[in-house]
Amino acid sequence: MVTLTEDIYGSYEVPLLQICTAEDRQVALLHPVGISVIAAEGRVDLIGNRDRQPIVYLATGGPQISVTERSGDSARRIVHPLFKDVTVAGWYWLEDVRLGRARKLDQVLFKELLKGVADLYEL
Amino acid sequence: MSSDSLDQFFAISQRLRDCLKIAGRAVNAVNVRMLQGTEFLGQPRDQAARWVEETRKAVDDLSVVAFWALLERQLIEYTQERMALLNAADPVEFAQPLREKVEAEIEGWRPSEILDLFKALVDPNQIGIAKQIKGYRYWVAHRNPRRPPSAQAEPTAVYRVLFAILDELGRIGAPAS
Repeated sequence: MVTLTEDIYGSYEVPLLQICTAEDRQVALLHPVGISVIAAEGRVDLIGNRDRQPIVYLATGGPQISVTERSGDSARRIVHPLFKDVTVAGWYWLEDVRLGRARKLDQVLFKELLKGVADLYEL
Repeated sequence: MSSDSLDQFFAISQRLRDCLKIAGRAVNAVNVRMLQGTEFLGQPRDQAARWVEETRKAVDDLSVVAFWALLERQLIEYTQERMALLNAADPVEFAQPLREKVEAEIEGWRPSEILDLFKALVDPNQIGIAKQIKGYRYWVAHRNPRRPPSAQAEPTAVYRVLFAILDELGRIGAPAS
């Protein structure tokens, strides 16, 4: 368990997931970060001895941006997603926040991320 | 002696602080439209607010470093300009090498020694405060935890003190050639 403290929710305990080899050697942690996260519904970090990667929970469509486009007397409201390709609710890897890239987490991607954070290229 | 560069950097540092105010408001309001394309996305709100605050503190500290560098440069140039007076001094065989030696070596003088030269020209209390600012500037640059700064330095207060020194020297005017 790990204790998180957020201004909005105060302190609370939440499980921490250790990822170990068959020999019981820890290679990475799935460490909860918080619920009150900008542009997401929550975040856990995949932390290894080399790096960490943010994984966030996004609702269907993800956060939307609304822009009003004016032309003469008429105004048109355009809504577009902050992150591309967030078609279903679920856990996403924030590949590049500057470019608005989030990739849906699946087994293949999770293994790739684990290799990177824990330097496990034999996996 | 000009305080123009000090004024310009002060204005830039104030604008930087204003930009951070806007960033802080965007974070507090979770305005994803304003935050899109930045590293704030996906950050816990508390962490994002801390980033803004840490950045503001860093901007303040770096402003003090920059203000100090600008003052030091002005004081060195002021001293080097006064060395031109030695061109008319007798005996010239002594005065000229003295001028050349000071001009060549002043860059390596300790800042407190340079400041002491100005005690007779500006309020010694201002020089004393300038030395405290220098102490803070060194702490920012070196962050020695065993030697904390004797005084904190707030950028606007630092600007006012250093501006007052340069302003006073500016009133004294350039040397007669």
